[in-house]
Amino acid sequence: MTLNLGVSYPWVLLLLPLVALPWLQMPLDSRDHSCVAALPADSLSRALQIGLAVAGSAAILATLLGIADLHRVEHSIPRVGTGAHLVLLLDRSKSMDNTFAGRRADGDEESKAEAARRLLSEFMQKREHDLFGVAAFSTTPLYVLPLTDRRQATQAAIDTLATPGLAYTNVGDGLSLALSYYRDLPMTGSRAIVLVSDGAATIDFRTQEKLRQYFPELGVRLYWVFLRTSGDRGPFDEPENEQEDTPEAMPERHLHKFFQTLGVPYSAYEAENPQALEQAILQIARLENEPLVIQEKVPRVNLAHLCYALALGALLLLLSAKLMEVRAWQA
Amino acid sequence: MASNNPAWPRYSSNRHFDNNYASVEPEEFHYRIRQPASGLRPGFHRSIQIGSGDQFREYGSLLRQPDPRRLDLRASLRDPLQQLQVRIYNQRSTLTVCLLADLTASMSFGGTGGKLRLLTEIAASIALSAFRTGDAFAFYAADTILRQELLIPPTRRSGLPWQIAGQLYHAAPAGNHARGMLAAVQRVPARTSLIFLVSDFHWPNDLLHEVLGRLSGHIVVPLVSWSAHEYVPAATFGLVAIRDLESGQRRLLLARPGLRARLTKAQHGRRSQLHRTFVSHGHEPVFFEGHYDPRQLTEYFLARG
Repeated sequence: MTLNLGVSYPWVLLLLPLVALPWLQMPLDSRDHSCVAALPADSLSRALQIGLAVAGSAAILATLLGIADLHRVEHSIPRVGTGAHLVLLLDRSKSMDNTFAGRRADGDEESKAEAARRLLSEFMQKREHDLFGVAAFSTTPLYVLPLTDRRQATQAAIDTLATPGLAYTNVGDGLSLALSYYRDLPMTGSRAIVLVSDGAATIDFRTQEKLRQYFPELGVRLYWVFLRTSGDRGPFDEPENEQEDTPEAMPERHLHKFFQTLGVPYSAYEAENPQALEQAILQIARLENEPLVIQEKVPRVNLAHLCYALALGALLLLLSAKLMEVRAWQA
Repeated sequence: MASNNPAWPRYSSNRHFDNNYASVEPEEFHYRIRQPASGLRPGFHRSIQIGSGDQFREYGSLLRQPDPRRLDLRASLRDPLQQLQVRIYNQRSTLTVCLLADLTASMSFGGTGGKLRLLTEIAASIALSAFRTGDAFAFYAADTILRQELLIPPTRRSGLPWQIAGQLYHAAPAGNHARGMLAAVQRVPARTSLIFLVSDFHWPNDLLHEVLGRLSGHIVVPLVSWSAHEYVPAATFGLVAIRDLESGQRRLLLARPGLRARLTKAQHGRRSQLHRTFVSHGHEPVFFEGHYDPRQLTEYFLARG
């Protein structure tokens, strides 16, 4: 760590040569003596003599620095954390308001949105060093919160999952929006988009090309947490016959296939109930524990009071020496 | 108070009436020397000068010493050449007593009650003793140079002890080395004299050897004048800062019993070292620490017979 020190009143430092004074003159009145050189050397006395000069210099230096208002300037230090830049891409389609069983949520069973909100909150609270961004999508993508380390804002953004859902699912534009969060951002750690959705949709050809270009370019990993409603199809389902294997008939399977072609690390997790969702999120947490370099801001620290304390200590030393002074060599 | 211009005396005459000066009352001691004195004038000390003394020297012809009162008949009859023989005696002669005083800054140590006071007492005492014995007294003081204004050539003047006490008491010791002693040595009379060398002898060894070497023809009595606290401070515990009067060197000492013992040891060490040096030149030194006692000198001369 570098110590970036600054002073508010630099002109006070012009008095710094005063620091040499204690080396020219002892704080005690000297008695005349006829043969100083003939006296035997005494290491304790010598140490005291140097100590008093050091204390004198320290007192003057510390007082000057105190008057000059010494402080450590605000600076940022690079810090390696186990964090990631995570964008939570949330599905806000109407179906998210249903439970995993496909019914409307009532008091007993929580909805998919509610479960996702709860678990994502926990996930976020556990990961102190991550930056979180939140985006949502329905028919159109919704810009919610840029990448930030403000937990409160992220929490509030995740909480919006609790509000009723909107309309349909448009994964392609949502991903484009999530990717845009990383644009113009220095590559200081691992990046990942966590896509939470309960359904899939076809992505048109142009958007597919765009995603194929930007995912590797921005180095963003993709996690897809699929909240599967019982009875619905999931990304890992195999078609029963050849005719069924189309993007329209099995959008989840084809979206999964498309994600696998993105050229970036990608995993999909299928969650059929809150416990499975929890497992999926834990797995993501494990994967994202890679080292991350971030710039942490350290605010200005005022050191003047420390200087004064040091000066006081040095002066007390000198005072005690003065009180021990013998004012005569001869009686 | 001291003027560096040698034309101006470093004392003023009205100081003769000062209280400080009056407080120095010269005390006499007795001295004698082993070897014959060289003075021409009849005096106190044995000498090889032919004269009206009581020490028989030799027989000589009446023609050589035409004093018929001293005719020796038996010797005349015994003489094969039949010449009249006269007893020839040595007279007792005078001696010149010189005081060489070191007036470097270190001699001002201790203030009015310190080494300068000691030097004043010694000088006055020697001057008085020399006067009472009938010897001439000369005074030379030096620091970095010979202090011309304090110089007193050999004289038998009365009242000298008080004059010296007065002028020394107000002579400001100065100078950071004692090489002026070499110039003072050159002014000492050529014939064998009794020379008192008064200093604290905080000199470099080569200077000491040089001074003693140049005084080898004389009877030298080194009087080592130290204050009572030359090495050991009065206080038993505490911090004391000291500054050398000559070099200006500063030191801090934490006075404590352990250091006190070492300082005392250093003082004894210096004492025996000085003693060895003087003895190697054939002189037995006298040490004064803090106060002067003339009986110490009387005993010194009695012991050396």
